[in-house]
Amino acid sequence: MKADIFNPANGVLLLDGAMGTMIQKADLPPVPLPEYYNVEQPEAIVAIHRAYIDAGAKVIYASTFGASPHKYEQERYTYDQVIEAGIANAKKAAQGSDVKVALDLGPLGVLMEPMGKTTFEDAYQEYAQMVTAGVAAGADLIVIETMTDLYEAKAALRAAKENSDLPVLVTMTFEASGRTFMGTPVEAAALTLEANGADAIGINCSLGPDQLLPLLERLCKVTALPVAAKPNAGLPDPFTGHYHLPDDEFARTAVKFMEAGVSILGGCCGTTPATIQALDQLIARRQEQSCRAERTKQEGICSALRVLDLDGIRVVGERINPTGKKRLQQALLEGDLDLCARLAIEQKEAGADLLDVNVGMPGVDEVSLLPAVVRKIQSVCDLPLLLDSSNPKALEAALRVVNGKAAINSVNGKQESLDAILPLAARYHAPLVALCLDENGLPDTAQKRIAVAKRIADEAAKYGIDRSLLWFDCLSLTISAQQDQARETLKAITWLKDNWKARTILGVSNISFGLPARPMMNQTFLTAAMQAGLNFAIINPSLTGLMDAVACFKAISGEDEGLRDYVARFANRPDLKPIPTASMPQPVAEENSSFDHPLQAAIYKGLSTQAAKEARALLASGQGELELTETHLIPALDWVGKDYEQGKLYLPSLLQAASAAQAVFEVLKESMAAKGEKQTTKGTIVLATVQGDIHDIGKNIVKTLLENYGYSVIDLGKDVAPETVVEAVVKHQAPLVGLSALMTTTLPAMEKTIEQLHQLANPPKIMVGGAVVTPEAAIAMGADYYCKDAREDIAVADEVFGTLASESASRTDQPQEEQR
Amino acid sequence: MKWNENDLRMALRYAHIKDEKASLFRDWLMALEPVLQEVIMPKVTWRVFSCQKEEDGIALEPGHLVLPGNLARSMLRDCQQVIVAAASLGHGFDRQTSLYEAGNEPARALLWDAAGSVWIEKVMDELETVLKARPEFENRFFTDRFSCGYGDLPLALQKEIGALLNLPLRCGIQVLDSCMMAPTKSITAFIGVADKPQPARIRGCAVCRMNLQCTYRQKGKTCHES
Repeated sequence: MKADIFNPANGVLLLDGAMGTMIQKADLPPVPLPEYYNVEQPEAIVAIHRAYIDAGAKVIYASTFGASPHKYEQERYTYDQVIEAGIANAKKAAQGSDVKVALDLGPLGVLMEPMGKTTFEDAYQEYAQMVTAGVAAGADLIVIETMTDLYEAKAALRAAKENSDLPVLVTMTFEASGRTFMGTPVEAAALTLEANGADAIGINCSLGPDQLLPLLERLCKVTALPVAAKPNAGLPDPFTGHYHLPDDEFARTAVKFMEAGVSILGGCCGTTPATIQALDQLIARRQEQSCRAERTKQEGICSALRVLDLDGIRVVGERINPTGKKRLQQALLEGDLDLCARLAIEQKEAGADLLDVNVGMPGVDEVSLLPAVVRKIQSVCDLPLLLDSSNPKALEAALRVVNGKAAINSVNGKQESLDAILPLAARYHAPLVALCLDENGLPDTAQKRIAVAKRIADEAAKYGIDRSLLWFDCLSLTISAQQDQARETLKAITWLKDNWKARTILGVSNISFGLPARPMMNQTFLTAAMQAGLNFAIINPSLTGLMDAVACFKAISGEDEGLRDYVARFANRPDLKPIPTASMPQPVAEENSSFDHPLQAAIYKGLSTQAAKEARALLASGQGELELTETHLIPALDWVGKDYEQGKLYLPSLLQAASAAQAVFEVLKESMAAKGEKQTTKGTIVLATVQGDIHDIGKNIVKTLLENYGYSVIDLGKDVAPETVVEAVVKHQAPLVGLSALMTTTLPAMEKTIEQLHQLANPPKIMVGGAVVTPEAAIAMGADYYCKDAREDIAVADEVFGTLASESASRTDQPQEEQR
Repeated sequence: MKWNENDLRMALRYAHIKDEKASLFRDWLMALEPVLQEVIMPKVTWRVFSCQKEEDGIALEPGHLVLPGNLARSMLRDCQQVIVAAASLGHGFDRQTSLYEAGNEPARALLWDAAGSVWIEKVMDELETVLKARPEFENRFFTDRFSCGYGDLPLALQKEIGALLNLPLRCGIQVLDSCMMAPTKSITAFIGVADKPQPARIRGCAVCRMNLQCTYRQKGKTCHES
């Protein structure tokens, strides 16, 4: 059976109603999980299916909603047994009719990254097993329903498409706000599910028909796929738990669904065969309405939280790219992804609309690093991504783990590139940057670049990739070397805009290499390119001049309606106003004469920008990084620590000072990376919040303070399995481990972790802390140290590493003595 | 919803700030209020159950959730019904915490976390006010609100409450195997409904599971003093 089953031209497709509600009504004996009934009460389940078929349903959902391998790991039946029985029951009910049987896949009941630990691949594997079982049992189609996490829905969808050739319907669950509990708006869901191959999409559960209507209207406006609606029968009565919406009222709202463009109807919680019958009667009367609405597909890209509207000029943040950036190179080589997260946040704050992500450099494995950086970025930043690599395997690995829909940077006119990248773009429906160069190099006229653009567009069409998905890069060249080329670039942009209404993208700053006053040249070239019709400017959004040019252009082009953004950007900007001398902020150091240097004062007061500035000035004056640390940074931190312990400062002040110290460290790291040097570390410490515990603010505070004092922290995050802690300790040969737990229920996990660490041949010292940990509990669990607060962790680390240093010194001494 | 004086005091306390007049951090909390309004998606759900005394505790029906121990027995002594409620600030809150942490703003993360702890209680307070005003509860009296982990009411009940209220779907709350809830600023609570006025029973250290290691108590203070 092909996806034709969903084709609106064949009329409205009627799905069934609730299974759970009917099971409750049947008053069956209690079982641990609902899918047990497939095996233990097959007649009852068949009877429910039959009732829906008699009511007019053309698709029935087998009772397999929660039949995941991990849920059935410890049960009387295996997941494939209950799936097989579930499909068999539905097929038995459908026997002799044209009714189709769906394998029903619900949420796994786990928490996906970044909120939880379940990775995309973990979820994919679970669903792949269920799909394989469903296909073997003879399902006619697959429905993925009640999804609130887009990432999980994507995993299920790709598992369904890649492990079967069955048509797939995905319905997600939204709040009245139009967002899922995870924050995904209807439009981002549509884009992502479409891009990952859904044959039909829709909304089910959570709300009644009235409340779903505006959301379905929104959905129909942004997808060309058939749309399904499976609402609840109103909202449950909190006094009885029952749903009360009358069936005829349900059906009356369904008319409006059809008018909006919905062509697949059914019911969720609280609906019964009577509801489906009411819908069936409605469809019979209103069939002509089903295919009335003409719809078009959105062309944007998105993260799970935000859709990028592609009309107008958009800023692509270019800073996550190691080319020529020694500090980022060093961080990537060390696997330190925190810097990428920070660059993402900074670029978003500076006004980037999407982020280019490139990790290509010698010495790294792009295939594992690119997806790792993507996961890191999407844990803190909701901008859509432009995945930038020439390695198709790295691109595919990243496209899989993107939560949302990303674009690819890039393909070019070389046959090798076309053959490698276009199939990938087709598989993920990803928009694609098309570089207008080929085997003959970089074309020197606009006409030749357009010819390459045509060739790429023709080749893309062979893979079903529409020209609207190509973002043409007409290439900016250094004007000091080839002065005429800037004009050719602009001409090509204009032609593509005028003749194809094509989207174009450009890395702007190449233009000014080797010239004085580069910012001025870049800004002017950007303005000219925008005027020529440029859609995406690849720039450093932290450069105010370029962002000012974009803001001004948006005001002139009318994209910034009413000049609201323009005024907000420029109205009170200090750099555009003469500041009276009297109101200038006083230098911090003058406020407190007890500090030896303004850097110490800035750290004490937690002024990050000021501290970084003072550190730069000291480095520029010739002070070394180590000297700066020893004479200013550590004394300032000690001062803060002392005042905190004496109750003169509170925890937030201590943390502010810590973040100022981190800002100084970043300056030192940059400086050392530029010289090809590495910062020395006082020792490596593994930190983790134990398994089952997802509250890790305390552990993160400890991390910040330990790093302040020069320790390397391997932060394993929250909800960390004991085995993971052990592995990390072995891998990094860490002499000290810090564990945190917030709840009494997670203390056993802490104890288990300690137990496993003790089994190592050379066990590390273990310090523990967290709201529920007491000194007595720490001893009972076998920990070496109990830390009442983050400052105590530093004392412990100093003790452990101080002892190690003296032991190592005495070990070094010993043979010398023997020699003597 | 807006901060009031008591909220600010509680939040400062949660952030380990002992001088409640510390003006800088009060300003920070004030500045976090619009951020809260923007990024959180508060959600509540509740259901009414009948309750009856059984040998091993108080049983709620339908669903037969048994609340064992002395706390439940004493709280629900006069009650015929129990409201089981849940509230969450949503994942947006946790995302913002990660953002502050990743952006090298640990102090703001700490205050944000404290603000969230107070805000979620405010959400529950507001729900309680709405419930009290419902006609079904006219001339009925509510007990203090209490939760798993108070006194001897086990945290392990959290899982069953999750299933009973269908928390993943109704409130976006996932109860983990450790009984911790995600999003982190999520709470569940019981409110007994009786036909005679109910004394305040819950406030005080006696019912708090932290009473042995509480830093306030060690200094002769309490966390709930106003």
